[in-house]
Amino acid sequence: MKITIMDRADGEDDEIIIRCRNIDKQLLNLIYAIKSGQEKILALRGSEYVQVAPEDIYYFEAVDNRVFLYLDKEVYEVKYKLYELEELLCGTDFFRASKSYIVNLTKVKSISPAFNGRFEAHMKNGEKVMVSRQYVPVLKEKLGL
Amino acid sequence: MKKLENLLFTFVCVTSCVVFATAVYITIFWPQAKFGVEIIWQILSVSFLTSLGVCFYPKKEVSSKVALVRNILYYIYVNVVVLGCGIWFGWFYADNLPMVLGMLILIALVFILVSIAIWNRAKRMAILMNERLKGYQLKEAPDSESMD
Repeated sequence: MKITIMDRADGEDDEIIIRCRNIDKQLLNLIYAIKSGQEKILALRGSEYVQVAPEDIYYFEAVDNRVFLYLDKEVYEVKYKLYELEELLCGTDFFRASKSYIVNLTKVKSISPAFNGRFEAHMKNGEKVMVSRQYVPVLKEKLGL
Repeated sequence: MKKLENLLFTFVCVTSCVVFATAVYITIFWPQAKFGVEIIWQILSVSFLTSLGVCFYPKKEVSSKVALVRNILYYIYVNVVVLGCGIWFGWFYADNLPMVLGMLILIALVFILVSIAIWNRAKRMAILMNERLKGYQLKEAPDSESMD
């Protein structure tokens, strides 16, 4: 891949332009790396807002119209709806695991079968998240199955 | 498509188990009887009807409690279908307690065996998923892998 860095005119914003014939997985990863390097999720810790890097997040959970973000040991509230996060994190390591969960695949330690066609994702921090029957195809697709 | 695949898998498992159950049942209760080709069609019809139950499982998310209730309902459905067809095809006499008990025990055994087969299939899928997950994590985030 050829990399060209060009000078920009005064007053213009920095910009990354990708010229390609097809967007393959490698290119998608590159775009995600650029995007995730810039984008942080705004979360509420007590009364103060903090920025959290997506790669540090284990999963999001929706409980009674409130959405929480889970890190290794901490839990913050976010002001996004789960479907907004799903759109925001589309094409990244996150996948919708059920009606109430969005999970970071890089933080999943292992997957085991559960009752009635569901699967259980064992997180690296020891927690467990259920992948519902409805979203098992999403996980399979993410894993290339 | 996925539903059809699940239906076919369940049908194959149920039919295999029912053939064994039928052999056991005939050996115990009808040792002298001679059967025609109709018994094969009866087995296939009952297997198909009981397998149809997997289509009633909606994709909609439910709690573990509701899932358990659905499984119990499915088990009742299987019993009703097999016993109903059994009476219709003349496999047993409703007033013959050992025959009815034999049917109930065999239905329970087939149900357990098919459930084990379905569980094993899910287990195999989980093993495959874990292999892919390892590959995904090494490929997608080689640096963070070493940190976790």
